[in-house]
Order: sequence, then C-alpha cells, then structure tokens
Amino acid sequence: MRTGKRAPPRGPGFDPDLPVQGFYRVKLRKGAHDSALAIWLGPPRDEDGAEMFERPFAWQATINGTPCDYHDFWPACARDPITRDEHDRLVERNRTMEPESPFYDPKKPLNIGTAPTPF
Amino acid sequence: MTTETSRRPGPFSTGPIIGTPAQAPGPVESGERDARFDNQPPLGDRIMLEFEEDLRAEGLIERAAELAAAAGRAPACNDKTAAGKIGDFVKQCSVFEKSLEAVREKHNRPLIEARSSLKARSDAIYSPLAAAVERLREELNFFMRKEAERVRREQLAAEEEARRLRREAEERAKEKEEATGIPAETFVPDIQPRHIEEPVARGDYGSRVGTRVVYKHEIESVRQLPDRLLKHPRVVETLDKLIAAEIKAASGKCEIKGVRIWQEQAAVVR
Repeated sequence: MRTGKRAPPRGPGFDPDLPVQGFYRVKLRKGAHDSALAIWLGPPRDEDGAEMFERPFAWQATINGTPCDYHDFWPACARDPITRDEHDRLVERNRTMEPESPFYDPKKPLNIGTAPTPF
Repeated sequence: MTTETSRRPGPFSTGPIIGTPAQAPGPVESGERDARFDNQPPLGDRIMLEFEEDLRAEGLIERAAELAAAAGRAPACNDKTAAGKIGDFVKQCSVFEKSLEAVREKHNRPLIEARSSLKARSDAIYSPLAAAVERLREELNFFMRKEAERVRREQLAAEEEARRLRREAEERAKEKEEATGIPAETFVPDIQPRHIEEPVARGDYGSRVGTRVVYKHEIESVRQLPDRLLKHPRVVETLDKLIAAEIKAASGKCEIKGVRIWQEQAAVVR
C-alpha cells in the first residue's frame, strides 16, 4: 500500500499497446552508435517489400530502413523522438558497407578511442 | 681452522696455490652483484624506454598526432551538427587521455609502491627514535629555559651592580672636584656591567645546545586582522574553495553576506 505522496511525472506518458507514429533514436546495444526507428500506421508489406493495400492497416516499423517489429522498441523509444531529416541522415550513415567504418555494425559497441575523428 | 694459504687445491681448483699469500675474495665470492655483467641502463632511463615502447605499441603517439591535426580542422560551433561533432571530438580526446593515463600508471604504480614501501620501512626504523628524540628535546627545552632565566637574572644583577658602582664613583669624583678643583669627569672610570655568558651546553662530540627565540601567536579576533592579511591571495583562494563547496551543497539556494552568487551554463560532454 502506498502511503507516500506520488512523485510528479517527469514527462509525457505513453500507452505501451498504442505506439505514436513518428521517428525515434534508439541503440541496438549498449555502447553502440545510434540507429533510426520509424513507426507508422500503414499497409503491411510482402516479402518483396510491396505494400498490400488489400490488407487492413497495421503498425509498421523499420530500424535503419529494415522492417522490424515495433514491439521490440515501443514504448522505450518514445524518450528520444527525432525529425524526419535526422532519421534519414542516420539511415544514410548506417547504410555504409565499409567494414572499417565505425557505423558498419549497429549491434557492435563503438570504440571511440580508435574511431576516425569527426573532422 | 683452514685458511686460504693452507687449502689443498683439487684437480680443477682455481684457488690460490699452497704457499702463496691469501687473496681478497672477489665480488662473486663475497655475494655482491658483479657490475661487469649488468647490461641494463639506469632505472630512470629504463622506465622511459619501456614507456615509450608501450606508447608506440598502443599507437598512442600516432593517435595524438591525428587528434592534434583534427583539432586544427574543427569547424565553428554555429549549429547543433557542429556542436555534436565537437562533442564527439572532445569525447575522443578524453578517451585518449584515459588510455595514456593507463599506460603511464602501469609504469608509475611500481615506482609509487616502491617509494611508499621505502618510506614505510625507514619510518618504522626511525619512529621509536623519533618519540625518544621528541621527549629529550622537551627536557632540553625545559633545562635551557631555566638556564636562560638564570642568565637573565644574573644580567639584571650585573647591570644593577654596575649602576651602583658608577654612582659611587661619581660621588667620589665630586668630592675630589671639590677638593682639587679638577672637573669630576676626569675621575669617573668607565664601568660596564659584568659579562654574563650565554646559556650554552656542549657535548663531547661537538654538539652545541643553545637557545633561540621562537615567536608564537594566537588569533584572538579574526575580524580585527588588518586587510593585508585578510585579503592575502592565499586566504582569498581558501575562502573561494569553502564558498564554492557551500554553494554547491545548497544547490545555489543560499545567501552569504559579501558574496554575489549567479548561474552560468557550461557544456557537459558524456
């Protein structure tokens, strides 16, 4: 039984079963670089990526442009929303196929001691 | 008891031949390290060489040059993108500093521990003596204070005696002046107080125990101290530290007479 005064809310509250459409910054692993998550309500996609409009709309999500299950990220991702431009920038950055790039693997911790300088 | 001169040599013996005078034992035979076979550089040079080697093996020298060159290319901090890049660079430099510290600590830690062990060992040897010396110094202080007091009393007595003798001499000189008419100053001898030796004790080994004046003080009222002491840079520096600690403990919500408190925003890179 709570006897103390409830602490004041530190931010907006979110329904864990009802995501909010938008773009978010997430980490796939502690110490890794940022990944971009997009959540929207839309037609599901088939294996080839084509939208199936005959099916009812459902919550869709992509992580770095790759389809994923929004349940893996919502509602934790809601603490860091970003703009569409920032989402596109992160997706473009993480799309690199250079194994030497620090952004090659979003599930690998970023070694800032050996990463190239930002300028 | 056999000696070197009486030892019978075996077939492979390298000892002295019987009948020759005994030789002094060499460094190996006497247990000392033979410096002829010591190929290491001096300790200080050796540590620096190993440190340099580790720096190169970890790639820290090249990384330092890379970071220094990047610092020269830093853009102006006019927007969030530039601020983010500068934040990343600052974080890279702090990670580099930690790596450098780790390598330095690897070579520094044994030296620090050796220094602490040397100090601990020498303190353990001297500490019983230190307590005894302190006690004996107190006895010396007590005795020499008594001696100084005795000398002071004798000095006062000698000066009083000199004054009395001078007075008597002046009276006799006045009588002679009345008798002969010659000025009295001619008959007054120069009378100086008897010299009293300073309190000094000497030891057979040449030590000399004397006295010196030690000035002690006690602050009775801080507020009455002159400005040259209250505003001394070291006093102000200590006050700054105490005030900063008090303001931080109160999260800035405090008032201190004579202190202006305000807030500023500072960048934090995590």
